[in-house]
Amino acid sequence: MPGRYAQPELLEPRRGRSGAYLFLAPAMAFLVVFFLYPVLWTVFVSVSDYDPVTATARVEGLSYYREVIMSAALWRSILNTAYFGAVYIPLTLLGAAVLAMLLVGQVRSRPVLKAIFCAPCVVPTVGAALIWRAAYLPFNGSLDRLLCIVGWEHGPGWAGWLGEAYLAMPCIALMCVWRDTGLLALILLSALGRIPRCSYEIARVDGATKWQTFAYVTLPMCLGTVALCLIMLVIRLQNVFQEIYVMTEDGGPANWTVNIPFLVYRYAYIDYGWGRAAALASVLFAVTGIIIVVQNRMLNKRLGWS
Amino acid sequence: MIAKDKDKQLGRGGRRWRAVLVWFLAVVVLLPFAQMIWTAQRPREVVDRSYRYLSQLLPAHEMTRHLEIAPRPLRVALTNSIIVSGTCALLCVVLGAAAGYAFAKKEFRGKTALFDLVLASMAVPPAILMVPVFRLTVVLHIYDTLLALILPFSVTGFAIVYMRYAISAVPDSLIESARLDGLSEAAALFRVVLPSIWPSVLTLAVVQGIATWNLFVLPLAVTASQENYTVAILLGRLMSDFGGLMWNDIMVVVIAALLPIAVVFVVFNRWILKGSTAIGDEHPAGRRP
Repeated sequence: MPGRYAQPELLEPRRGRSGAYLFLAPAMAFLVVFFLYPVLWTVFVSVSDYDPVTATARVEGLSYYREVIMSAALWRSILNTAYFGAVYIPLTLLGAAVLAMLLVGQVRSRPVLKAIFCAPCVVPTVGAALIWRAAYLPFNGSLDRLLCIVGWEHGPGWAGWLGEAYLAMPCIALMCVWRDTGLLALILLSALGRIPRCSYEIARVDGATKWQTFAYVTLPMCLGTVALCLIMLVIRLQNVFQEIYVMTEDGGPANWTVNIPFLVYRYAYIDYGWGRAAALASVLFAVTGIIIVVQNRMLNKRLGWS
Repeated sequence: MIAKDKDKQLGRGGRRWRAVLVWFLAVVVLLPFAQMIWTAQRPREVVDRSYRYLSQLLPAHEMTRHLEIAPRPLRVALTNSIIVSGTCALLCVVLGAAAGYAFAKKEFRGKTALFDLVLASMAVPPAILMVPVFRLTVVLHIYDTLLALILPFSVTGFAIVYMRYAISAVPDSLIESARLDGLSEAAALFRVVLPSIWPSVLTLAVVQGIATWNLFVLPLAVTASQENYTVAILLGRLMSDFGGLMWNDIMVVVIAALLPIAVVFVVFNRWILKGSTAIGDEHPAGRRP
């Protein structure tokens, strides 16, 4: 019956496939030039003896990788990143969950509260870092002044919250918690809103306690969103760079705030060891790649695109 | 009966406590902003030397005095940021819509692989792209120009993914009828499909504009002169570029950098919230056709 169904064919002529590529071409051209090419170039530089001055290169092998993996700085930066994550991820996720549960009850004032909690994440991170750096100043920062009112004064050797080895990284992490908790809470709130009301009614009819309702209705229904949030947090953890660039400038005190991206920056811009920087960056690409594959699978499953 | 009433009362009390708690948290979240404004309106000497921080208030015109420190670089940076953010937002919508349309409505070879590339571009830490992107701008002869701040960010993975979701919610029949009316495919996309999902388009434009305004790491790698600083770069380089700055001066510049964002945030609040929480929704752009 080709005659009866002629219309779709008329609308989608045989060049339908090339039409798709025409629509894709401009965006993909930008992605290839400014994303894919830099990534591939980085991987190439990591296995060659690239000379930035003459721009010549010869493939050399994995010596940079060996150098990077053997260096103490790498393991130090991994530990620092983990230290940051250990403060940042649980605090943000728990804070967001609590905040979302609290916001569910606030019906009338919810728009205002939403705007307040979302405000930190639209601020440029550099600006936020400057604000927090001022708050962390020794003696004169607002944090120390507040503590002074309570009666907690620091001794004369106090180097400030960002000047103490063990405190600096958690203090930076706290700024990121402040920035991201509200956003995550709103994401979780919209997930809570999608739970059908009848699920709660069934739970109530069955005589479930508040805690049981949370554990067997709310939590399983939000688990997908929570997992997506977790991936988002891990990606943000890998993106932490400008916070350190602004707040401790050189990764001080005694390298306690040098995380992996900052180490790449330091290799490339301070030591001019482009090969080492590229090798480390390539390892990061690989780790990020695995995360993306997981995220992609999850997204596809949720949307039924697989 | 009595037990039931008691239960109800407890519930109401609990609700009140939750309201108190949530507003307390809201105040805590706003504290850093309060500190920013407070520091900015102090006279220059007070913040660093005096301990009597909370004792005296100053008239607002003190703040403009701090602005005299860096008036020209700030004006230039604000202009640059507005140009760059506006252009990037526009390009993101146009290019993202075209690519999103292909991903949403067409079948072609390599669709999965290309979409993986799009997703990958969203997750790679910008700090590790600094060197190659810097080198690329040098090769393309756009290093330290506004073009170097626009071109690398003129389409983002987020824009494409977001437009794919948004356009896949548009019924095929709408596109077909537009084609029957004699519109080309591109015209159907930009004159029929996009207007029909204008809330999503507006959301994307605002979110991308703000995201571009806040970009710091890669722009830092491709700019050298103050003529081409955006606001975020000016903030990041404030202390190394200008000597003798006090924290009150810095906070005034931070406020100046935040004000345009604050205006956009207040005006487009609803759309920003919708776009920001997109990751958690089944269809980030909403189910509206």
